[in-house]
Amino acid sequence: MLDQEFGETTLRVLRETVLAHATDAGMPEGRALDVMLAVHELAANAVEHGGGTGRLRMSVTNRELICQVSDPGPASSGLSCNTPGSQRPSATARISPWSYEPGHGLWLVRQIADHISVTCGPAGSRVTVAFAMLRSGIP
Amino acid sequence: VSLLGIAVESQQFSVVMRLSGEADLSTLGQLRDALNDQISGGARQLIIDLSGLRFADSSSIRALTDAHLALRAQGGTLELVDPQPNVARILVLLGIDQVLTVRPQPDSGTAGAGLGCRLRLTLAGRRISGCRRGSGAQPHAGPRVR
Repeated sequence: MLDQEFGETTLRVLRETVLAHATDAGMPEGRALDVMLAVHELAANAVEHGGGTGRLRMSVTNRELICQVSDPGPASSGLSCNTPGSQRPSATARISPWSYEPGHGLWLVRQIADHISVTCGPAGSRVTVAFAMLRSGIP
Repeated sequence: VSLLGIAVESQQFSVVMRLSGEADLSTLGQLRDALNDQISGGARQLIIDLSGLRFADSSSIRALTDAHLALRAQGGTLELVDPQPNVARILVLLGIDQVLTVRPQPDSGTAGAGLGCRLRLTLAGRRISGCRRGSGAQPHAGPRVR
């Protein structure tokens, strides 16, 4: 459905594209904005920690919208693959009541997405998030 | 051309920084520089007007909360004012409204009590319904136990 490469300067274009696709797929407006935010955070994480560029693949079934963000880096910071040398929170961050970490965007994505899976390896990292097309909570 | 506009206006007792456009990783250095200018300049009350900001990501929000910590360390304050729904949503998701002051309107006079509630109720999204603070609000009922 969508296969797009991105870098730091094309994050905005990526956001607009994702929002348009999610809306076209039938996501309610608020949820389409969530999809855009989640993809942006994953893409920004890939740009910042995964080698500067990445790739988004987005597809939709009648049940869910699936977004896969991959990057060529060894392991994006904040992902749950505990590789040696991963960044630690800075000393300033530790005094905050809100626990900042470099991969805080990933935490955000976990709050928004219905499902998330992370694959890390020497060839790069791949995060797949899924959003239900029908809102849960309706009996 | 930057996605982010930053306009700074010094008032008698405070500095208002108006953000417009979109704040993301590509504008992070610009935002941090502007905030650091105010911190190193000894600002005591920094008001960030978010009314013109259409999008902010977690790195930009983190720049704001870092500035809040730095200002607080030198006896100052930082307030966020009038976020658009899209930005308000990320503030609520990250729990920022629990960490620093977020006001609905500039010069509204009233403190932010109930704002979190208002944001939660007006924003679409699952886990945001209900009011965690504010007196008199009915807590949102979870799934009924049968």
